[in-house]
Amino acid sequence: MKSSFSLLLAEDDDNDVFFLQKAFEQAKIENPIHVVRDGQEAIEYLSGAGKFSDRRQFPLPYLMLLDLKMPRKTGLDVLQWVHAHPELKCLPVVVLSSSAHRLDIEKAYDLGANGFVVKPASLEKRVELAKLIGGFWLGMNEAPVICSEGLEAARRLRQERGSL
Amino acid sequence: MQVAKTAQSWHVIRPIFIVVACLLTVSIAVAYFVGLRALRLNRNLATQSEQIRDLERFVSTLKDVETGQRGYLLTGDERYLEPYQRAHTNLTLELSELKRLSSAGDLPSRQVERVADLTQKKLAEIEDTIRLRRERGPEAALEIVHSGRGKQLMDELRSVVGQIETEKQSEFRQTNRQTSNANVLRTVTFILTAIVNLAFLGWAYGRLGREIVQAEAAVTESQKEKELLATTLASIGDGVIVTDAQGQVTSLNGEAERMTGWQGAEARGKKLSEVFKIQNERTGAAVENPVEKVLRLGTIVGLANHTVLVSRDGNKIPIGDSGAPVRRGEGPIEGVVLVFRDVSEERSAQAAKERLAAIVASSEDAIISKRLDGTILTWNAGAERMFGYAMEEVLGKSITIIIPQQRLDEESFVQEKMKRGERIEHFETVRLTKDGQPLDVSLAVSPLKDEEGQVVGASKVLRNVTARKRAQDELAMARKQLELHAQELEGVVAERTKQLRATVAELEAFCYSLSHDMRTPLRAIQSYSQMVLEEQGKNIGTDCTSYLRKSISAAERMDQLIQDVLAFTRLSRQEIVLEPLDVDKLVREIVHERPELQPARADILIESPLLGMFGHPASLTQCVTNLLDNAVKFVARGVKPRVRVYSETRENKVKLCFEDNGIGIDSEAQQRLFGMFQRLHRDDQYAGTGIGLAIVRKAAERMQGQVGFESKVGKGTRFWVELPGVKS
Repeated sequence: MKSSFSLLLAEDDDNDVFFLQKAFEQAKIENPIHVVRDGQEAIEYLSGAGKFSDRRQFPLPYLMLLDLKMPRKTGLDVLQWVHAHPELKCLPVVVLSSSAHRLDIEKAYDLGANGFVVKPASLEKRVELAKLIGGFWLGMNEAPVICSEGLEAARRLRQERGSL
Repeated sequence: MQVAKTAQSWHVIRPIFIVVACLLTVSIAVAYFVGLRALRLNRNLATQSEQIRDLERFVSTLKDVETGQRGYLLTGDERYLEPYQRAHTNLTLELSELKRLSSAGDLPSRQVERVADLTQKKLAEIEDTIRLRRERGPEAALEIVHSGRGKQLMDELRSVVGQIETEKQSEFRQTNRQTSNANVLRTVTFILTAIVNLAFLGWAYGRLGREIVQAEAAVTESQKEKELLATTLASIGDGVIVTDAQGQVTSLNGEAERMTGWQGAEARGKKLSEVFKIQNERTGAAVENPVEKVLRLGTIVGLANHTVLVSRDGNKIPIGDSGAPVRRGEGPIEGVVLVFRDVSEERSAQAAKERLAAIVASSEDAIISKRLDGTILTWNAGAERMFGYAMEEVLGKSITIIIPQQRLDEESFVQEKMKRGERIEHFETVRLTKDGQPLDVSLAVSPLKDEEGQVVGASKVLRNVTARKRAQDELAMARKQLELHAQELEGVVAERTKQLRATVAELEAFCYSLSHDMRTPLRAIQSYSQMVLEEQGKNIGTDCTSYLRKSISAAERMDQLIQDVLAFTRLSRQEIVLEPLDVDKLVREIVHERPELQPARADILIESPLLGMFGHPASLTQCVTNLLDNAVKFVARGVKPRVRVYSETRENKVKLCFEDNGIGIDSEAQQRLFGMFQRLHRDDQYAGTGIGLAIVRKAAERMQGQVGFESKVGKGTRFWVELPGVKS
């Protein structure tokens, strides 16, 4: 795990942002966590639009943690948008939700989510989750080119290799 | 022909018999007379040989006399005279015999007289010598002897007898010859007769044998003819009765036996009217006996219509018959042959034909038949009414008179189809009446075929459908209106459904928000309280930490409540597909997964195998989890929960039972046990949301099953879920 690998957290609830950041802290995972406060902002971040145009400050994350219920654009909307962009499709996404709603789970995976987790209610569970995410997604997992070398590299690879 | 042949044979045979008879008579007569002659000759022969013997005996006796004389002369002994005397007597007797024969003509009388004379002389000479010997002595006697007169006499006698004998012998030889000739003739005649006899016998035997064979063949042939006739009669499909000239039954064939019910043997000799009872079908009156009529008229007679034969057992069979006289050549009537047959089938076919004709005649539909070229052949009353043409007007005309100008091509189409032998099922078209009014008709056309199956025309059935058309139009109108109504109604239904959908969507949105928006603040409460506890627990004192703990616990309960309500609503709305479930495995997995069901905390006794059930896996899992949770939860303090899980089967259903050692449920509480949010205990006694059993009941109902329980306070409770069983 490289501590420079960043996370993108899309979450509108301040409390949940706070709890999750605290959990990562307690789990001693010091990777940068970029937070966007709704779906629209998440899309802007990923597309490098507006204030997120500086990729050095706002790099493409190794993992996006995506809340489902958000204002402006929901988590499913974000997934759909990502899904529609071939070069971003590879970006790993784990959905965080307040409930294990069957339809939500199905839709999320249908739109390319890589995981679906019900937000833990207790501190201990949250720390456990943070450790698992750090260990797996930021450690064990081999990330796609878009995460390691950026959008341009991913795009080039695609062009060279055709449609893959 | 046979008779003639026999006569002819007789004609030939008679002269042969006569000739042979004459031959036989002649040959027998010849044999008789030849035999008679032979007999006579034989007798002559015997007589002649007797006479020759007599002559010889006479000579011999004469010698005996001479010998006796000589002996006496020589000896003088009287004893020598004894044979002399005997011979002398015999000689006399023999001489008289010769005389008798001579007088009968058998011996020449002159010579016999000479013999007799000579014999007298000789005897006299001998007596002289004997007397001289006795009186004078031998010399005197010998003197006579020496005179030679005696010898002379004797020689002469011998010569005469020898002559007679010679004569007699030649006569004997002649007779003997004649006898042989007669015998030969007799033998020849006999042999000839025998040959003729044998020849005739042989010929007669052959002839007789041939005659017998021919006669036998003739008999066999006539037998065969008779049998053929009998078989023919028996095989005839008609009944045949034959009577004699008196009208008495002499024979009847099988069919007649069957129809009359009389057997041939019984019927024979009976009056025909007894066996063959007939009457008028309608009036029941007796019908004149056809045989009597035939005998009276001497011609073939038929039977009146509607005659029925009353069989022996009373059955009435409609018959047709005819009677004919039996006569040889122009001779007198010898009997009557009556032929009759069962006409029931003809009768019913006729009746069927008439019925059909009546149906055609009385049909409301126009029924028309026509030739292939369209010429009208028949035209029923329905057609008359429908089109206004009388039958006589249209017969022989073309069918096109009722076809509108613009529809004439229909007719050629119809004709084409008919030629191919195809039918035309109802097709609707327009035809014209006599006064030119168009008629809506429904038309069906079928080909008419002759006996060889050749299409020779077509039959048309036309139905006036003007009224029906009107009705159809009205019906169509009504249908249209109905459709309009239905559309309106559908609109209403759609509107309502839309509203209902909106309500459901709202409900769904509510549930969704329950699970998301409501749980988020709960999580915040829980988390912050926990953080305060952890970070500031030491600084805020025990009262505060206790409050914070209660606040966390309340939040947890609220979360559980939300989850239970969601589970309940999900069960209500979820689509459920039933499938066979391995209940044993399902229960074991639940027990294995849940911490409160582990052996350390509870004894769960599963009586394997639990029987398979038809259910929905998630719903049954929910039921089993909730029931097991309850079973281990509601126990008295300090008692280790013990739950027995087992199956019961009744008919084709399976009950999955959970029997616990819990506190039991009082009868008052049992009423509301399965209600929503129903709790029987305070939270500090047994925690819970009051939704668990409501979920169980809902799940069971959704799986078309039932739940129930039996309980006694302090004795434990048995809950059960009943679902359709899986047939093994």
